[in-house]
Amino acid sequence: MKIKNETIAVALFILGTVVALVGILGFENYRRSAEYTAELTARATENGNWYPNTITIPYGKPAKILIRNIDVVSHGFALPDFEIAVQEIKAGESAVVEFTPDKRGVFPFVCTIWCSMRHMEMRGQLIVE
Amino acid sequence: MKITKPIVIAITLVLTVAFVALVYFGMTHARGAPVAVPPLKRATLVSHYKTKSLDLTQGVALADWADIPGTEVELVYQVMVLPWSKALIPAVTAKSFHNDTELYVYVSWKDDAENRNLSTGEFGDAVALMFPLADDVPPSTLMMGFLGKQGVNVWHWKATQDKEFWSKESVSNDAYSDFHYPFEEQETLIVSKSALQSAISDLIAVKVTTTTAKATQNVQGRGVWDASRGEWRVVFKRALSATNLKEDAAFGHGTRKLMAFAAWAGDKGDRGGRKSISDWVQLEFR
Amino acid sequence: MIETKDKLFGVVDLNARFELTKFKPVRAILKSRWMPLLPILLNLFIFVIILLAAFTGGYSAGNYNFGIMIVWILWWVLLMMMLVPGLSRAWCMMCPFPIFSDWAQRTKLFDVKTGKLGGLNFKWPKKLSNMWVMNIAFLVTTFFSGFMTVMPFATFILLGIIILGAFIVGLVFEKRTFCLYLCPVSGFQGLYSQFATVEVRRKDWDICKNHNPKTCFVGNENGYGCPWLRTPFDFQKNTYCGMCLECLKTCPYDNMAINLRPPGVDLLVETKREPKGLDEAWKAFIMLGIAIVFYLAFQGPWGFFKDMVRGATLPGYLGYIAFHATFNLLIIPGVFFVFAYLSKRLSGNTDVSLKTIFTNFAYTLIPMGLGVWMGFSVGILLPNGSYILRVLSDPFAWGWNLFGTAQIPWTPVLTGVMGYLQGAILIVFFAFAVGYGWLLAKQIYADAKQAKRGFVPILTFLTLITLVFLWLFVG
Repeated sequence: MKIKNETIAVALFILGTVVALVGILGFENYRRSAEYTAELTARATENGNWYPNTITIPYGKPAKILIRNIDVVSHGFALPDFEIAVQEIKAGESAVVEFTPDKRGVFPFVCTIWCSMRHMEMRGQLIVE
Repeated sequence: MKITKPIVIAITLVLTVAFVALVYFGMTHARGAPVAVPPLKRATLVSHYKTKSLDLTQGVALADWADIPGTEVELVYQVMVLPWSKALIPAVTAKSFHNDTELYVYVSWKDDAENRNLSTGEFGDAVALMFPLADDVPPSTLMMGFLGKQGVNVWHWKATQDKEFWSKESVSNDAYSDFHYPFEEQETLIVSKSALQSAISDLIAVKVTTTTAKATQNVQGRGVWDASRGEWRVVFKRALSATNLKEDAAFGHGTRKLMAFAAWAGDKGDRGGRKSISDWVQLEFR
Repeated sequence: MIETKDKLFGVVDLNARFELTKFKPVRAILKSRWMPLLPILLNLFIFVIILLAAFTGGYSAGNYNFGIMIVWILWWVLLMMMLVPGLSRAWCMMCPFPIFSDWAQRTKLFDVKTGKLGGLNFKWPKKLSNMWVMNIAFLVTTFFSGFMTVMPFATFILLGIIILGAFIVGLVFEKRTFCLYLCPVSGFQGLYSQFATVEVRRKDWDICKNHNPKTCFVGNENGYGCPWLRTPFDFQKNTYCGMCLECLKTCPYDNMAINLRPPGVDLLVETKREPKGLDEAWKAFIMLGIAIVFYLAFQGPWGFFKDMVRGATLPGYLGYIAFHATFNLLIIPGVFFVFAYLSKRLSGNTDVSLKTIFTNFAYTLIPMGLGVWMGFSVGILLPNGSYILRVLSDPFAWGWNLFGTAQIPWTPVLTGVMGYLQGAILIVFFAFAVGYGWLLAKQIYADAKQAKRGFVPILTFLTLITLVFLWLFVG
């Protein structure tokens, strides 16, 4: 059976729009849940602070955290108790930190760049359990 | 289907509303999920007016401070300027009073061990107070790199210096090369001075790496280690009025002044930039 | 084609043409209904990615955003440096924005619907059938340039408005009314495409003369009557030809051609159907003015001006808008008017109206403006081009690495010689402006003597503009 050109064109149209959108968002959703232990959004305190502010990862298993700076200024990430850091994540950039937590407890993570008047408050908690 | 006027109007309305809604959603989520941000709560340390004065040669007595309420000041890792701290002193408790001529500040904090000596890989405990020299400074000036022209006055108490000054004991029997940290060249000069005037170094700085000992050392102080409670108690003492307004923080009854705290745990490897720091705290003279 | 005896710089034969469609495979491809549908569908997909990236990018910095980088670095530079000066309105040919209204009007995406098209099919008012709306639309768009180039979401809003506008206007008005008279980026493409080295034109007038009905205008089973409302059988200027290729499909005699030609020949064209007008003159002024303001704001050393454009403070921003609008709509035309007046006085001619002199000489600003914009584009591309490699691999800044280029650091290229490159481009286009300026002077004034005297002020103006930009580019 010969497929009509019109049908092919409509199919391409749908492929390039709806399928592309759904596919990209669906793939990213899957990728994040499969690849990362946790996800963090970096933003200055005034813009909502680290989001989520508390993240939980399992003890003893390799952790991979995606950090996305969606702000208009640079941020940094430091988890001093594990000596894990990304010195600078520029606005619009993302970074990934990987480590295996070898102690349980609640550990602070902080921004490492003077990002706003309330930089000192840009803190969050990592729970290892 | 024939496209008629009502259809065009309906399509226009629906699409416009949908687009506006999308833009609204986008704007409210442009910086991720909206989160209510609590307003800034700056810790306040009240310096109460008292008629008494303290004699530091007699040590630091808890009783002198028992009637003065303390303010817990939260500290965080210093991770803005390299080298970063690896350990945290979570908080210090601060108290203050003043009489007509003198200001006293008391700082206590929990520590695992008393570190009063220096050697290779061994560092002393310390605490410091920082006061901006200008009257109205934005919070960003907390970073030593942003202090502006006037800079800050820093009162730096070190357990090692305290031991040398009050006990006249040497704190080091070998070269403490690791202490010659890139950012502390100026400070080590003071430490190595033979004739100590105080347990406290009275310093000025305009940005990171510029910490400099003042020509006149105007701050006295003393620290005691309470082994049973694992706690340092340090008292700072200075004349209420500034000797030199360009170098000395100015205070006065009824005034307000920003200040910040830093603390070092020697056994955790803290020295120089490796320290725990506070945000600005409001010091109020009542 | 209007035959002219004039030669550009005294050597370039302006009647020279090389027909690209004389090659059978080329004509076959262009006559296929997949062309330009396939590039449109491809661009539709790319713009879906751009819109998604611009939407998810929020207010964050544009450097790592696919939307910002592809639209304002790649697309804009491609447009100014290659597409428009080389291929005329080739972008309009493959622009995906009108696909929705085309589909609604035609009810077919690929096939040809014969007979009356759907939609309300209103005619666009005669009074507005020119560049004025686009002039204002583009100028107003540039009010927001300080946001659009740094805030992905601002680009989303702009593109959203254009797409929505194109669709709704397409439902209400006939054919490509939106593209013709409303699209903000259509105006300057039309204006500058007069300089392009490519054109769509009919070949043999005798064939068209006797061909009734003229299928290029009314359409047939192979294609639609000109969606851009031209008369392909006799139009002379690229300005409003969207290069949609329908006339190549509808002409039963293969009498439509795509030609290579010397750059700029349309600048000399003046016919009853395609007169030179103040709308196009102002478009040329606005484009030149915007280039100056953009250069000062984005590549100049004045931080305070950049802050005004970025809207750091409301009064500063309003000051920018007021300055920008006045500068483009009044000051530049005003200065040019003085030179046009001097031209008339010096020429000694009393027959030609000042308006004609002003309008016709304004067309010298087409090569001039194009040169300035190309120089400006080099100044965007060389320093920022490396970001494009990053965003291709990680379009949404989600941590992807599709092509292994996501970690490429920011690498400015050839910035040491950039100023000289910009200067060289400028000088080449200055030469074109002068060359055509002289030919226009001969068209305007009665004899060579008058033309020589009358050209002096215009030459002075062009030289001044060039010197200003040389100073800005090379320092």
